[in-house]
Amino acid sequence: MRKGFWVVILAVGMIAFLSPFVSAQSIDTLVQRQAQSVNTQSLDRQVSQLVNPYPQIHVPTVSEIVSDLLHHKNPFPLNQLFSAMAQAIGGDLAQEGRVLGVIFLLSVLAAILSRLSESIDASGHIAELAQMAVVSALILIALHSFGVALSMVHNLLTDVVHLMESLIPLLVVLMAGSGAVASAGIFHPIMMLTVNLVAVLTRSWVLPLVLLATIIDLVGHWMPNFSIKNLALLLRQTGLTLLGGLMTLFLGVMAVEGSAGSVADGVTLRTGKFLANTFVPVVGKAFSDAMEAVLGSSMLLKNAVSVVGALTIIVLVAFPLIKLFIMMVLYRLGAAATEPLGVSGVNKTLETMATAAGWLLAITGSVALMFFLMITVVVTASNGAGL
Amino acid sequence: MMALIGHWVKSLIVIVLLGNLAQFILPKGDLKKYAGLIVGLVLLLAMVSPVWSLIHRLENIPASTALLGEGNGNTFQAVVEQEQVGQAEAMVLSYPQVVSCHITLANPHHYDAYVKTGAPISTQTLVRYIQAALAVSTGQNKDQITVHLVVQGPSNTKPATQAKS
Repeated sequence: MRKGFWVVILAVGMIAFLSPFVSAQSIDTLVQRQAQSVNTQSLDRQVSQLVNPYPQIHVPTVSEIVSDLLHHKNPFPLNQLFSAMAQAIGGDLAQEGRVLGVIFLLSVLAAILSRLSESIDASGHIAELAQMAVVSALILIALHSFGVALSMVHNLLTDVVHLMESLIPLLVVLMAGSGAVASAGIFHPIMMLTVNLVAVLTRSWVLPLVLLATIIDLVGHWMPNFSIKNLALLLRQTGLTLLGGLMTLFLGVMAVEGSAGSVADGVTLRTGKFLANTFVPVVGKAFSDAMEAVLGSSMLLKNAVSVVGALTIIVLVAFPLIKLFIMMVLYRLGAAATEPLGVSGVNKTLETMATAAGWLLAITGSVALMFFLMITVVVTASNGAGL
Repeated sequence: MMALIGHWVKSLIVIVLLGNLAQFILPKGDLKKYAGLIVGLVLLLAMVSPVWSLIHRLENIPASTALLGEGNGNTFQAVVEQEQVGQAEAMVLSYPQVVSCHITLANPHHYDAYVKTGAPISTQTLVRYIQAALAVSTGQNKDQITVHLVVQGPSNTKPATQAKS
C-alpha cells in the first residue's frame, strides 16, 4: 500500500517536471508535422503560377517560410524585389517613351501645319481641319495605350481574386486550428463576400465608368464645338464615389468584426485553459501546456500563409502600379512640353490621358490595399486570441 | 445596367460627332447658328430621355406592386393566401397521428380541410387545432374562421363532417 503511494507521487512529480521540456523540445517537429499535414501545395502552385511573368522573383512557399522563421533567417530578401522593380521601371520608361516620342513628332507636325495653312488660307478653316486630323491620330495612340493599361488592371484584379480564393480557406482552417474559432466563423463569409463584391464592382462598374468618362473627355478635345464634359465629370465621380464608399464600408466592418471575434476567442481559450488546468487531475497542467504549444505552432503556420499572401499581392500589384505611374508622369511631361507649340487640342488630350492614368493608379492601389489590409487585419485579429 | 449606360453614352458621342461634322460642313451664316441650336437641343433630348422614361415608368407602376416587380395585385394576394394555407398545413401536420393534410380556401373565412390520420382522433379537437393554426398563419380572429373538416382514418372511414361558426 505504502509502496504504491510512493510510485504515484513519483509519477506525478516526473510528469510535472518533464512536461515543459517535452513541449519545448517538440515545437520544431510539431510545426514541421503540422506544415506537412495541412495541404499548402495548391496555394503554392497558385502563387508560383501568378508570379510566373516575373521570373526574377521567387516568392517562398509556406513550408520554406516556416523553416526560415524557426531558424531566424530572412525568408524573402527584399533586394531581389527592388532589382526586379528597377528593371521594370527601365523597360516601362523605354516603352512609354517611344509612344511619347511619336506623340511629340505628331504635335510638332500639327504646329507646323497649322502655321503654314494660316499663311495660305486666311479663313483658318483648313488649319482647324489639319489640327483635327492630327489630334485624331493622337487620340488613337493614346486610347490604345489606355486600353492596354485597362486590360492590365482587369487581369490584375482577376489574379488577385484567384489568389484570395485559394488563400482564404487555408487561412480560415489555420485560424480555427490556432483557437480563433469565433474569428474564423465570423471572417469566412465576410472575406468571401468582400473579395467578390470588390472585384465585381470594380470590374463591371468603376473601370467602365472611368473608361467612358475618359472617352467623352477625349471626344470633347477632338471636336470642341459641342462637348459633354460635365457628363464625363458625373460618370467619373460616380465610379470613384462607389469605390470610396466600398472602401469605407469594408474598413468599418473589418475593424468591428475583428475586435468582436478576438474578444470572443480570448474568452473561450482562457476558459478552456483554466478548465484543463483545474479540473483534469494530475496531467491538467501538461495538457494545457501541450494545447498551448499546438495552438502556437498553428499560429506560426497561419502567419506564414498570410505572409505568402501579402507578399504575392505586393509582387502582383507593384509592377502594374509602376507602369501606370510612369505612364502618368510621361503624359504629364508631354502635356507640359507641347503647350508652347500652341496646338490646344494636343496638350489637353495628353493632360486627359495623364489624369486617366492617375485614376487607374488610384483604383488599382485602393483595391490592392483593401485585399492587403484584409489579410493583415484578419490575421492580427486572430493572433490576439491565443495569448 | 452598365450596358445601358454604355449605350446611352455611345449615342451621345455619335450625336456630338455628327453635330461637329455639320458645323464644319455648313457655310458661315445664319444657318450655321440655327443648326448649332438644333444639335444642342437634340443632344439635350438624348441626354434627358432615359431619365424621363425612367420617371414615367416609375409613375405608372401601382404602389402595391412597385416592390414586387411585374404582375397585378390579385396574383400577389393569391400567393399570400397560398403561403398562409401552406403554413397552417405544416402546423396541422405537427399534430400527433396526422399523416397528411390539405387545406383550401372556399370563400373568405371559410376553409375546407382534408386530413388523413394514422389513428382515431377526436374531430372536435382537430377542428379547433386547425382553426388555431389558420388564425396564427392568416392573422384573423379564431372565432371568425369556419372549417369544414373531412377526416380519413383507420377506424372512422366514413367522413366525419363538422362546421363551426
